[in-house]
Amino acid sequence: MKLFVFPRWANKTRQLAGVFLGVTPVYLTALIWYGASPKTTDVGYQPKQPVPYSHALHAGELGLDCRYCHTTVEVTGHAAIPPTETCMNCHKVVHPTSPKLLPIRESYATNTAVPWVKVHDLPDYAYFNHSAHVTRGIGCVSCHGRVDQMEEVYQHEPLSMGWCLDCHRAPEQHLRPVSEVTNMSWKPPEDQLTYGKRLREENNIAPPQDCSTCHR
Amino acid sequence: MATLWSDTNPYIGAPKGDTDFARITDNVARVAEASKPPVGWYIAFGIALTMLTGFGASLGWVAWTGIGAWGNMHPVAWGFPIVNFVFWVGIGHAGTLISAILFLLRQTWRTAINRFAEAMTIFAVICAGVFPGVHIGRPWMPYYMFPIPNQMNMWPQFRSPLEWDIFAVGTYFTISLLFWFMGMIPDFATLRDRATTTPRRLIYGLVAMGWRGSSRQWHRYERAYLLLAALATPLVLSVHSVVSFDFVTSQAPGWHTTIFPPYFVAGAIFGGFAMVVTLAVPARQFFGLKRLIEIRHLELMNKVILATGMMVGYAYGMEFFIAWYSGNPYEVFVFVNRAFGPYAWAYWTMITCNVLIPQLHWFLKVRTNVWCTLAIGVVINVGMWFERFVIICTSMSRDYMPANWGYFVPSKIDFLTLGGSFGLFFTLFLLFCRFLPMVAISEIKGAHRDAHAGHGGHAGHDHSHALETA
Amino acid sequence: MSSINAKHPKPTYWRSLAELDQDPKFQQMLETEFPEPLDGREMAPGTPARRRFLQIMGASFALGGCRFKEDKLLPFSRRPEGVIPGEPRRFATAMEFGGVATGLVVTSYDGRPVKVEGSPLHPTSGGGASALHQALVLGLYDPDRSEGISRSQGQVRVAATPAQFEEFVATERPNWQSRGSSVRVLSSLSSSPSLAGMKQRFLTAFAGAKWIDYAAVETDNLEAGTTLCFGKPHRAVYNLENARIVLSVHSDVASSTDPAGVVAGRGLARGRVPEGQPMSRVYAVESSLSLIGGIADHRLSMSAGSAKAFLAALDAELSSKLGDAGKGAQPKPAAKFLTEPSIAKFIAALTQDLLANRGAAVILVGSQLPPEAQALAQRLNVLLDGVGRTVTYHEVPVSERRKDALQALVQDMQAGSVETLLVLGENPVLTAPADLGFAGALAKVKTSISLTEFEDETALLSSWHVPLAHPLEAWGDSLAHDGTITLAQPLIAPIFGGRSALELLALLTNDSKRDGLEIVRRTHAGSLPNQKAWDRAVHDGFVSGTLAAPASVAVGVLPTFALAESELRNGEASNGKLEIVLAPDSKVYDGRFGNSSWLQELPEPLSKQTWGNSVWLSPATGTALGIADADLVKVSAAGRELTLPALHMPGQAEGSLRIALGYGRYAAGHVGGLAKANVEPVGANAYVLSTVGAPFLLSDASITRVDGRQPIASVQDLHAIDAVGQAGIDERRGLLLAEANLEEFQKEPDFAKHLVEHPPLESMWNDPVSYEGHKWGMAIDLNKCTGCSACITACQAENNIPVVGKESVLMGREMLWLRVDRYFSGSPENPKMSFQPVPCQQCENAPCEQVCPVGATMHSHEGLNDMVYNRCIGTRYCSANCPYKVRRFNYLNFHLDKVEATPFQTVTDKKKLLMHMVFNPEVTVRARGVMETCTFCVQRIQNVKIKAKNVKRSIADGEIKTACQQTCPASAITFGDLNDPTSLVAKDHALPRAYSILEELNNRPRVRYLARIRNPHPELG
Repeated sequence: MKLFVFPRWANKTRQLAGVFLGVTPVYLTALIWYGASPKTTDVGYQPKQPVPYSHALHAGELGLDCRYCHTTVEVTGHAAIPPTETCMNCHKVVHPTSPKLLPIRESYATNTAVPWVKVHDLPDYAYFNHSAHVTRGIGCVSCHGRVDQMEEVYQHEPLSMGWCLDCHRAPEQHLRPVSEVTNMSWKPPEDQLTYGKRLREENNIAPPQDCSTCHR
Repeated sequence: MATLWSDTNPYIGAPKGDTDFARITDNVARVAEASKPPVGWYIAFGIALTMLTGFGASLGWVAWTGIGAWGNMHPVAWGFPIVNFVFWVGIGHAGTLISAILFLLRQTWRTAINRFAEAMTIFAVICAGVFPGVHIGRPWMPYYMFPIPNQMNMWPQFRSPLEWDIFAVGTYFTISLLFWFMGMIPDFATLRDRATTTPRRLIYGLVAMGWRGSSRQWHRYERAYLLLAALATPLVLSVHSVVSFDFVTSQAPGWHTTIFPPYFVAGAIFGGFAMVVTLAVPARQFFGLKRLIEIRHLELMNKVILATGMMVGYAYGMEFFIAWYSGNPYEVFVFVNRAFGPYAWAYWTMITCNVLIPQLHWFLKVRTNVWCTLAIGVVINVGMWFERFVIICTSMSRDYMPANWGYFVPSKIDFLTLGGSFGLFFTLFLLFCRFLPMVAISEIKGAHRDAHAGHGGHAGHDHSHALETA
Repeated sequence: MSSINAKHPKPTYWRSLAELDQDPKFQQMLETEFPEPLDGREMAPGTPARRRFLQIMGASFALGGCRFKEDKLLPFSRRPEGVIPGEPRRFATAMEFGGVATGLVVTSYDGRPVKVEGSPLHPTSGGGASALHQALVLGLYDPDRSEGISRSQGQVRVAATPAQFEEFVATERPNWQSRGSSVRVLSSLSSSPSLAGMKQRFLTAFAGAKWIDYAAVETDNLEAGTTLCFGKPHRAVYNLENARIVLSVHSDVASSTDPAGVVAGRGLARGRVPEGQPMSRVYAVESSLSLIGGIADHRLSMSAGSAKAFLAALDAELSSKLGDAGKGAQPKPAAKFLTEPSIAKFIAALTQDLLANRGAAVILVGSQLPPEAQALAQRLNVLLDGVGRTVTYHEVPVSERRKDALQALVQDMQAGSVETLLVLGENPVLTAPADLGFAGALAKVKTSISLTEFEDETALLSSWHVPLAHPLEAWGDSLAHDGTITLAQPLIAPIFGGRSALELLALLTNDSKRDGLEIVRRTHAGSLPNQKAWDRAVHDGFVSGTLAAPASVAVGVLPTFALAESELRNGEASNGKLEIVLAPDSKVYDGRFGNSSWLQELPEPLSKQTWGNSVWLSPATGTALGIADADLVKVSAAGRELTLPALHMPGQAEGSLRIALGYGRYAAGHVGGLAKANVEPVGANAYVLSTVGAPFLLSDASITRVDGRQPIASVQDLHAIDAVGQAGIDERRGLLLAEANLEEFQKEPDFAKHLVEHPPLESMWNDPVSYEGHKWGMAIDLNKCTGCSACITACQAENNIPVVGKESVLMGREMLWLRVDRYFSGSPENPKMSFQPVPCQQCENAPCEQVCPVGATMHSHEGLNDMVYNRCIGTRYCSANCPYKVRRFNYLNFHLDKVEATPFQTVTDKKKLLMHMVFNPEVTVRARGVMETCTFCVQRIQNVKIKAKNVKRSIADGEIKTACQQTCPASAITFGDLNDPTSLVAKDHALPRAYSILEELNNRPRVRYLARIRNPHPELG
């Protein structure tokens, strides 16, 4: 009877199988490592806000200090979103009728909240405390980027666990004088690392890397 | 059918020479080639498949509601799932042991049984492998246990014996799989060549990987087989030792014992052989392999069972002695509690099945009687399962602080899962019996006295029309 | 307390749930599954909302920050001055029950009260709180609380609006004024000055109306007793701190059921320090084990019926030695049992001790004992010069016996002469003595108005039901047990629009002041004239310097008390001659806390039973009558019957049975039992046995086995256990729990360190960390611990610990992080009992850390065993390897199952979501499949550390308190930095009697125990 003969290319199957077995794990690893990391998924997240509030204008051109609005940043965990009052302090007189500011005026009149959309969303199960960082001399810019140049705020850093650890292991990369934390354009007087190391010595900065530092 | 299953005359006492190579080939190959397996196979397969469904159902339910669906509780945090895991890993020993160690020791009688002993190993390890994955509280994220780089800069903890398990069992499975597959290559070729339909040719052809039986291939093959055997041998000892580390390295009284590694290995071989005979007897009855799997072989296995059985018995005794000798009240209590506490029933079941009943093998009549062999094999499997139950559940149920003591009661789902794992095992095994060469044709020939008389080398292999694929 | 803000005593309120519906922020909150209150606090990362939201989505898949939901940030429109979003604030308030107030401090996040503590400023509570106080906050968010006013229309109940009710009141008021004599008020026993004021206004507004004080379990036997011996009714305030010798006769003074239990617990503990000062000696005579019986150095099991005879004998013995002073003593009763050598010896030794410690001895009597017994005890207290030292008396206004008043009321109701009945915060249909037939009488009342938190048994039969404001929702005042005026301020506006009793009375009397605040201020206008004084008082939670003046008393001559036959015998284990003691439950009290899942699942301190009650009987009695543990039995007395499971209880007096009251409710709620929703009652209702004549102490009772058994959901093995197990327990008790007598201790102070002989403890490895900086440790004084279990509930409240339910407890799956192990030693007839609280031992060489394959529990550089829930995959290896078994595993999705949410099905039912309000935002809410364990309240540690470092100051000792430590009335727990040799905990660790359990395993636990020292009388030994 007629015998079945494998075509010549069949000899390739072994090599192909080999390659497949070799490449798949590498690919999967890369996928999880990079593909699923906030570096890929989160950075650049820029949701639409109910009010086209421009940090570039207020913090940049007008040069408002971050703490004018985010008053609680130095004393507690949350850098509180300002109450509508804070906006109205100026906007009673500045653009009092601008349609863009309608939600603000409504909120002020009806005593309800302006539904701002959250931009910087840390990994779940992590407890972050602003005051603990600001009072140690970590500038706003280190985590939020040049907000003073953002028309609409977007996420600048991955905010991933690895990213946090990088700094907790070597804070000198980001340390600056506490007086300068809100200064977006601050430049170290000398090489950041040596300067940071000195600040670290002086202020005895020892960021813990325990699980319970962030997870409870 | 009739012709296929005609071979029912008992083989006992028949002269050796009358099985020539063609007969051997035919004997084994036709099982895989049969257009229809026997009714018995269908019934068995039906049952196995039903049980397998139960397995899927129970695991699905557990995944949906949480492992609270099982009986696991405080303090018995590890209940049936881990018992089953250790049980199956144990079963998964005989195969590679028979293949590798006996091969290295040139025990030619192994050829009759090594193939499906190996198959059994693979399937048992598959069953075992299921449990660590599903027994965890969040079964959707076992990948945390694998060293995959990630954005959290987190590695698994390599100090943990569970982590060692992953590598030990993983390696063992890989090597056993290769070993098994390699052994089958020449037989695949045989099946391929005898195949009459294109799909069979294609499939067997693929897995035969272009085997032509040239002496060059044979030379490479033998060399590789030897190497694999050498690689597999230490694994046989290592894998169950490592599994025993889960308990040994802990602090729990009844777990923290240096005797465990050898004791677990002995137990595994014991249980593994018992499972082999449990499978071999029906197989030779059903598929007419009496000429290949001879009583002689069963008897030899029964002797191994007897020997290892006594090792296990010794271990049981030694545990008690050491507990008493240690003078540690908690240690002493755990063992007294095993034998006379609320779980005494489990303990004495274990002793009866593993120590007392195997002693029957001292009698020639018993160990040469297939049915006794089968019965005792089954009993031992039960006993070995209970051994793990006693070690895990009894020790946990009453550890250091009395306020934690509790009595573990398995849930219905527990039993469904346990039975289901057998379903998985037998489903795979029946498929193997149906479609793969159950006995190592080439090896049996190699071991056949004719193989070395005259023909020389491997001339006996009837590749009269080996194919040129290139 | 620094964070109590004197400037702003008023927290930010939100309005009633009904109004919330329209509130966009509330809607928002529900959409986002976000249980923050309405002041729009930022939705910070890691708040429970976000976490639970993820859990609900089965989110553990979605680590790494895949965005599948846009989160909203809802800031204030106008942020109240001084409010910092996300910052906890503390407010002083109070809780009254049994007519006694306990000063509390409530922690509130953004207007959402989440945690109750005892107020350290308050003179009586002194920082301690009982389990009942701790559970207060859960009751606040109980979705079963009645949503609004309801009225009965024929058989059905229909909702009514406040307006309708007020209209009804307005139309009825003239009738009440004209026919005041047909109006009755049944009011909770209360010491509130404001309520007393409103009572006067009510009685004047409706001339002829009668006001009946009602308490289901607090009897006025003491008042009656003091009337007998002092001529006038008095309250007794004990000062156990000054007592060298304490005799407790059937009193459970340290228990949560005693309104002053917190104070008593602290007083007792202060006397139990074996170092330095002389240690007090405690005698207990009781029919059932009690907390004080556990502390006692000598304990006598004696049926409650024979207490009178015992006290009479003691009186005879003592007085005879007092010469003239002792005249008018009772003759020695002719009771056979008093001649038993053991008892005679006991009385002799006791007498000797009492006489040797005149002025430093005190006798406590259980409130269920008859007035004669009370009189004898108080007489002896006076004779022993206790007045002003160990006990002070405060005169209370004369009033008829409460039970007589109640009986009269029911008769009037039966007779139809009561047209309007006002029930304030009580549930008489459930709790009134069964033979009164209150329910039947209630049906004869035309208008009955019940003011209760729940639509309970009484409310269901009342023509009107008005929701009562929760103690944390209303202004109020009452007296602490030493008479200090204590103020209660609301932490939140009434969620279900409830009113306080004050406000309801104001409405009925058409008072000019309708608001609780105004009424209370009016009451105290005199003592708190200006805003400053008022603010101060509200801030502190009490009006300082209002201690009641002690009355001077003189013992009159007591008649010779007659002793009934049943009072002359000390218990016989034969049917028809048994006695039954009905006692308030240490968890649900008289039943009012029946719907609190925390309390239902709290192990009863002595029996360790959760979810229900049982008949306690001594093992001997059980064997004699052929009754085993968990057998269903029928208890009968005076023709009344009750069926419930039996429990062998060591220390139970021969022939004496004890049943806890407050169970078997059919209108408690979805936790405690709700007939209309087919929720089985928890436990059995023992009130059916009580009668007006013998409310809590029944004689001539029988107990018979009926078919069937009912498993008892106990978190520890029942007493009856197999021989092997019993032997094992006996063997290791001494190894785990160090005990010695005082003189043994003085001979060998460090005996506890030599309990176990073991080779030198060496580790193959170096310490994982250096423990520079802080090194947290804990010490637990077994000598102070009364076993009251307040710490367990405190821990549950602080750490969002789930309730698992009876079924799971039966399977051994309770989640409590802190357990209090209870050991019996000695004979089961008269055992010694010891408690051992076991939190995570935070080992330095931790077995759990080494075996976790994913590193979900790691060692912090301060020595904590950090548990990372989101890393945990649930192999449970840590639990298997923990020799203390303190790790608890979420076998099911306990939190979500409670609101009936599945991983793929969220919940929108607002009432269910209300339950989430109780979560502490500082602690992760764990989902199914993860291990958890005590963290030493790491959230408190972190927050204090951050705050301190922000201003570059160091942390003071005692600044960080764990939840269990904070609430412990006996301050048996100390916590702090072991690197600071001056810290309390370091000093405790350095004490000779400090030891760690299972030290020989070389885990190096961070929790050390201070050995239990007993102080027996040399002759009793």
